[in-house]
Amino acid sequence: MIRVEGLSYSYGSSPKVLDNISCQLEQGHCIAVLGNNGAGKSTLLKCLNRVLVPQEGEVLIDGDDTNIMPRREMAKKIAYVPQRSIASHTMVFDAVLLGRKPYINWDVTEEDRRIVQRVLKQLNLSEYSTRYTSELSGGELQKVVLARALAQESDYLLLDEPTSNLDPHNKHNMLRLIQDISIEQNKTVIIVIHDLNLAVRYCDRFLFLKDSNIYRYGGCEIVTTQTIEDVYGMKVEILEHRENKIIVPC
Amino acid sequence: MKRIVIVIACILVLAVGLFSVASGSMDLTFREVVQTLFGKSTVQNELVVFGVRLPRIAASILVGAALAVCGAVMQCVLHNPLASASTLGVSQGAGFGAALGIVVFGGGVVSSGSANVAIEINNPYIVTFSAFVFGSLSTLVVLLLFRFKRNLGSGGLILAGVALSSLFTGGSTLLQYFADETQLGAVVFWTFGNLGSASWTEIAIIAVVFIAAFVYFMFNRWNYTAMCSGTETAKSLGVNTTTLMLVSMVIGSLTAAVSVAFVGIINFIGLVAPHMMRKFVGDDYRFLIPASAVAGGLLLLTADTFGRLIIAPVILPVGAITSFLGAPLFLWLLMRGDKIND
Repeated sequence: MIRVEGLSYSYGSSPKVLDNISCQLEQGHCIAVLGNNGAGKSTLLKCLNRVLVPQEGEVLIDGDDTNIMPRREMAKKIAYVPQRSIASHTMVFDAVLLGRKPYINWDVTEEDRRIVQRVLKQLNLSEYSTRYTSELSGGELQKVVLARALAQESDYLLLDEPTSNLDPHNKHNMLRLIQDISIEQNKTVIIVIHDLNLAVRYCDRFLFLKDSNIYRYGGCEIVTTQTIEDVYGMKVEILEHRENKIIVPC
Repeated sequence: MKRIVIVIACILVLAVGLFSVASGSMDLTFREVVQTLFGKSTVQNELVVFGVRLPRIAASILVGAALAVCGAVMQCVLHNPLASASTLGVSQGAGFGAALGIVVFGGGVVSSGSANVAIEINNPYIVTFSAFVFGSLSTLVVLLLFRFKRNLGSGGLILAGVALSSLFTGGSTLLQYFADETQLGAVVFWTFGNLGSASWTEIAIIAVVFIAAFVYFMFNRWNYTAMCSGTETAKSLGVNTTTLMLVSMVIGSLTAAVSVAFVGIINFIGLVAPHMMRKFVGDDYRFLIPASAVAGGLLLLTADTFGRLIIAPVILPVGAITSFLGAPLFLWLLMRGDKIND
């Protein structure tokens, strides 16, 4: 479980992006972080694994304070996929192998290679393994970056808009895969996502950010027309289709 | 494939090295070279090989390797493909330091003005020390800027390096303006770059510094590969990016400053060699560090051998040769659309 207590963050002398945030993110859920542009969704994700160091507050992962946790240990617990992935000029296999970095002492082991091959297969990337990442499309690169995060074999997965470059078919495939991983491996997935329909379809917890704070956090029942209007400032209608909620702007 | 590239480059270094030992104003056959290396030749041959050519070759390989490895690491930690000792002002700082040592601290005299030699620096250690101090000063300023002005970015640091280069070049010009003829000759000769000036003792110093830096860089090879995927990714993979950047920059700059301090200004090796090898091994620093080292050694050795032989017995300054070879090579890499301009 991730426990956040009194977390605040601001960029330089700008107003606080996150102001005294507290919450408990339970194990084994797929949690969507939602809110307007600039609401602090990505900042929250970065503060959880100390990519950004919060000015106030603390984050506890399974009871361990991230302020005093060595980075290498934290990398074994939390994997992170940033919003903008940089394609370094490496082969896909080596790019995914980088996910084993927290476990590598001097050189890679056979187990590391086995894990990478398994993840590549899981994401249908095996045939790309000898291609250079700089030659991939945006969507393919996004899958490689997710594969690297999966190769970290961490309990927590932080994904910042992981489907932004994917076509609708691959978008659904990837989110279905993320959902399966969360359920089968009891991983906690925290995912920043803009598409409310995808969020309600693949996530089971929802964290709405507004005015530098948590507006609401809970299960599917909190995704109401009122919440969406309050957070996004737009009127919507929520329809039911085959037990799925569909959010339609009015 | 990546290992094969490194092995081929090593074989090329060996081949050019052997050719370089055998060639010069006194040509030796391959058989004579081998006999001399195993101590079964004439005293004259031994003097030429061990006293003149081998130190020069060793200095070329070591300095080239050091500058290339430092360039590869700086390009990674600064996220800037143009980073190298020369673009960050280290070389120009060292050049100013050398000029100061020669003109102000009385480190240099000129015995003769001919192109074939005879320009001597009468207290090389003052000149070397001064070059090292000012080469390092450049790094210190760049790092302080990074420390107190975080939002400067890697592009800003390179611009700071350009500004410092300009400042040090201006300082060197002023010193040359006020220098007498003998001092002026010594300053100009130093800035040409001269691999023949390094003795075995100096080569040993460069070797120790280079090996120490190389071990540190190799120890962090996974961290550098992670850094190539962006600072955020590197942090999430357990890399302490700030510490890695600061320590790598200090070690890289000091290694480059030590190399340049002993043999004079040598441009482009730190920039070109890593980009050349990236074409073959990518951004995988497990291979890029050793590959850059071998390529840097090969480039500088080739440039120096070329400079020695092209209009022998006159020896052309190696600094000019590296610029002549390096600039077109760099432009060619740019024309091919390599990953230099992202």
